[in-house]
Amino acid sequence: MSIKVNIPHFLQDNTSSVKTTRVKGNTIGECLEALVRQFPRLKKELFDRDGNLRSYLTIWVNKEGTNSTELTVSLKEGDELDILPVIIGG
Amino acid sequence: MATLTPDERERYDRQIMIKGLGEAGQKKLKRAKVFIAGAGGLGSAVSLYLTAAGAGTIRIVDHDKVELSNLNRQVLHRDEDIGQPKVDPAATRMSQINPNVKIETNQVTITETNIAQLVAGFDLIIDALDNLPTRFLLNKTAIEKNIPLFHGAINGFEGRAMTIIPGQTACLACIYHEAMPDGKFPVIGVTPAIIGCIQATEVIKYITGLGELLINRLLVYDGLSMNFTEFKVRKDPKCRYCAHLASEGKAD
Repeated sequence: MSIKVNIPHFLQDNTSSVKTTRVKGNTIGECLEALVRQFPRLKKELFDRDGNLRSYLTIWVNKEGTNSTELTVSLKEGDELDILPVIIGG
Repeated sequence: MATLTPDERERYDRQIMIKGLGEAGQKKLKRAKVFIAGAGGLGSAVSLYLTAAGAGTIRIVDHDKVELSNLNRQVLHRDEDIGQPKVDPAATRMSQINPNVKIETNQVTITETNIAQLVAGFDLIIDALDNLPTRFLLNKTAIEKNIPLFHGAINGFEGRAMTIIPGQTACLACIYHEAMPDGKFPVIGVTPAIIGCIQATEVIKYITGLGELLINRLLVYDGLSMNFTEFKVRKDPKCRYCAHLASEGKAD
């Protein structure tokens, strides 16, 4: 199924400034893997050496929290993903 | 019950005119005791506007001294303040804006040891910090002491804000787990000004009981695209700080 992914500013250096794209996948994990196939430089930005989503990233589905860093959350046609990093400045 | 002097009635005339705020709301502001963690970019905006609005008591805490590189965004401080504890020019500027506000300062590092004492007797806590570990400490204390927490954070042209009511809403740890490794963050001064003013707005609404709070909603500001996006936050049933409160309030 086709999922829209919004790419945050801090990752756009790795996507030739592409801000949104579409990927195919049934779960968050599959969609992020598809995203990496489109933009290979995102791999080290999104995942650690063990293949886990980096702990400072949060994934949102249709602008709602997933309460999980697990990548197995199921998606449906038309869903939209946002990747938000933790920001700390004050 | 706080009373308003003729001078205060004139000073706050334009906001007393706001439907629903009135003199009763102004008296609530006057009675309020506000704790601000941080006298940097966010702390500048939130402290100045809450001072102008007539919050009764403001305690502002920051361990740092003013540096030249602060001055692009930390409008509490001036060139002549470089080298001074940030809380000193903060108190001076705030008093100049509104001498009716009782201002308390502490030049200390917020730690596990002193935080309970620092916030004791205060009605609400404002997160104007620049690091995640101390934010989590504020978050933990707010939950333990049942004190509302007003979160803000910025990076570059981006900002976030959310209001946390312990026992009722999601908390900071329901969203965030760890900070990005790079500790030095880029920022343009207008970003903390915007987010700090959103925090101040939330505080004023909370104190006066007006409007709808930014609860269970993370507001994400993108200055480059000039848009605000709301993300719906769910209370994490596994949250290390607030999961035990799950049965005491409604998450949504």
